[in-house]
Amino acid sequence: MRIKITFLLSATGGIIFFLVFILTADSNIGYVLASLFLVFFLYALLHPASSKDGTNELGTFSKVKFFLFLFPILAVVFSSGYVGSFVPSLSAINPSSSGLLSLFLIVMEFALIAMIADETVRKISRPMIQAGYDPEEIDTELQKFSMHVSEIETAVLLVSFGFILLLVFSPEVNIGIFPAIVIFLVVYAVVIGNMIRRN
Amino acid sequence: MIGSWNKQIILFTILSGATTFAGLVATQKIMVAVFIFPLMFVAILVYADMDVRIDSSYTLPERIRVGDEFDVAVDIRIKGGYGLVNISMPVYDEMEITVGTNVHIFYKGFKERRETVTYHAKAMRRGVFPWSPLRVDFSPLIGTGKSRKTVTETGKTIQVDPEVKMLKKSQFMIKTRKLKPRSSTTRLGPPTTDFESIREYAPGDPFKSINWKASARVQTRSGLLVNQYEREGMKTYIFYLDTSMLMRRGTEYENPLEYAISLILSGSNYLISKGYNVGYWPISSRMVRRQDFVVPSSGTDTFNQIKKILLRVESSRLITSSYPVDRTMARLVLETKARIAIVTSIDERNKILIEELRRRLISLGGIVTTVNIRPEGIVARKVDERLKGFFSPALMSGRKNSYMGDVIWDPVNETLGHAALKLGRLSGW
Repeated sequence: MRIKITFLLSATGGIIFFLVFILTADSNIGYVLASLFLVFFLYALLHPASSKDGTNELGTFSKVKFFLFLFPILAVVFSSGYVGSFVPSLSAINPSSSGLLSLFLIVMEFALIAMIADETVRKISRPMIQAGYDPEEIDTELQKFSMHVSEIETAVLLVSFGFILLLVFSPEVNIGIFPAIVIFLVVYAVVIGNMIRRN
Repeated sequence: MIGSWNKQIILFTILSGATTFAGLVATQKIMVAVFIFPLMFVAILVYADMDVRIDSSYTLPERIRVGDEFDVAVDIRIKGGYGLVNISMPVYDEMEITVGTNVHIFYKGFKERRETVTYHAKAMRRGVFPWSPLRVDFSPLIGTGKSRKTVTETGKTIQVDPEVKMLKKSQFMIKTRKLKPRSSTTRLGPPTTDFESIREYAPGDPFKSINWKASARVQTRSGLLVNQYEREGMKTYIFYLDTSMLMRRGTEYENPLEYAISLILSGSNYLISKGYNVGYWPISSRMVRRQDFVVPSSGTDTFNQIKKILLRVESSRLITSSYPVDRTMARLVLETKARIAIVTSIDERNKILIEELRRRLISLGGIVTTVNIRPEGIVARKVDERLKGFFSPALMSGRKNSYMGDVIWDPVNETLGHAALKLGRLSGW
C-alpha cells in the first residue's frame, strides 16, 4: 500500500503546528498544553492505521482529532484578551505570539481535513478488497480521491492565508472584531444550513 | 459514505465556529479570521458540486463454445459529481473469469471520466444463459450530490454450444474381429407411400395405418391389422441418453452427462454426413414430451434439433426407478430395426435397469450398444492429477463379473474420438 498524500499532509500540518506551538510557549502551562496537543495528535494520526477495520474500535471515524483544537484555543485564551488580562498567571504563550499561533490554526484545520480524508480512504478500502475488488485499482482510485481533496484544501488554504493577511494588514479592509464576527456568522449560517439541508 | 464524510466536515466546521468565540474572548482578530478556511472548503463542496450523469455501453458475445475464452467490455462516461463509481459488469452463470474482475471502482474528480473496463472469461458449460444487468452505482464521496443506482438490463442471452468433434470416415476404417452382417438389418429409413404388406398391429403404430377392412376379415390376437409401407433405404440410428442422477457424478462442469452430449453430437454429425437417419431420445421414467426428442431423420436440421434439445438437457435429481421405453420410440425401433446407442453411466443402482432396457430394445428388434461413461477418473483428477490414470478403461473392462456396458469410456484418459471409434466399430458406423 502506497503512503497516502492525505496522511503526509495531515502529519506535516500537525508537526508544523506543534513546532509553532512549542516555540511560542513561554510557561509550564504552555509546554504542557503543547505536549498534550502532540500526544492527541499522534494518537489521532496513528490510531486508525492500527485498528482492525481501518477506523477506531467502534468502526466509525475517530473523534480524538477534534480535541486537538482545545489546546491551542486554551493557550490563546489564557494568554491574551479578557482572561489573559485578569489572570496573568495562567498565561501559556507569549502574548505577542498569540497572533502567530492563531494564524497557524489554519494549518491545523488543513491537517484535520487531510486526516478525515485519510480515514475515509481506510474506511472504504478494506471492505472493498474483501468484496473482491482489485486492491491495486482501489488503491489507485482512492489515491485520486486523496489528491482531489488535497488539491481543494491546498487552494482553499492559500486563498484563506491571502484573505487573512489582507484583512489584518490592509487598513482599507480592516474591520472591527464584532462586525467580522457578524459577517462570518451570517455566511456560516447560510453555508452550513445549505449543507445540512442537502444531506 | 457521503454521510460519514459530511458529518465529519459539519462537525469540523461547527468546531471551527467555536474558535470564533474563543477569538472574541481572546480579542484575537486573526483567530476569528481563521474561520474562513473551513467555511470556504464547505462552500466549495456545497456549491461546486453538480448532479452526476452516467452513460454506458457494453459489448457482449452471443454465441460461443464450451472452453472458449471471450472478452466482455463496458464503456463508461461520467460527468458531474465527486465520488466513487462502482461498476458491476454483466456476467452469466457457468462462466469463469480468468483475467480481471467484473467489478470495478473509479473515483470521479473534477474532470469528466471516461473508462473502458474489460474482463476475460471462459465458458465452462453448454447451455443458453441470460446475461445479468450492467449495474453502475454512484456514491458521492465528498460534496452534497445524490447517490445514483443505474441498472441497465442487457436483455441478451449467450448460447454456449457443446464441443462437437469432427469425426472422419477414415477413423472408422479399421478391421474388426467381430462379424458384421453383409447387409445391415437397419438399412431401413422412414416409410414411403409404397405399400409393402399387411401385418398385425403393434402398440405405437399410427392409427392411419390400420387396415380396417382386413382387420374385420381376419381374426388376430390384437384384433387389428396395419398396412406396412416400403421404407427409404437409409439406416436409422437413435441415441438414447440417460439423464438420471448418476449422470451428474463428477464435477459441475465435468460429468458423464456433459461428455455424453459431446459424444452424441459428434456421432450425430458424423452419421448425418453419411446419410443416416439420426434420432434422439432421453431415457425417462415419465412420458417424454414431443419437444424433448427428435424423430430419426437426415439433414442439418435434424442435427440442429438434437443440438437445441441437448443444449438444455439437465440431469434429474433423483435416481430413476425404472427405464421404460417410450411408445413412439418403441414403434420406431419395431419398424426400422434401428441401431440404438444407450449412453449412460452404470453403477450398482442402475445396472439391472440398463440391462432390462437393453433386453427390451433387443426384443423390439433394435441393435443396441451401451456406452458406459465412467466418472471415477474425473473425480480422481479433481482430487489429484496423478490419480487420473488409476481408473483406466482396461481396469474397468476387467470386471467381468458384472455387466459394464459394451463401450466403457473414461473421458479423462480417452479422447472423444477414441470413444466414438469404439462405439462406431460395434454399431457398424
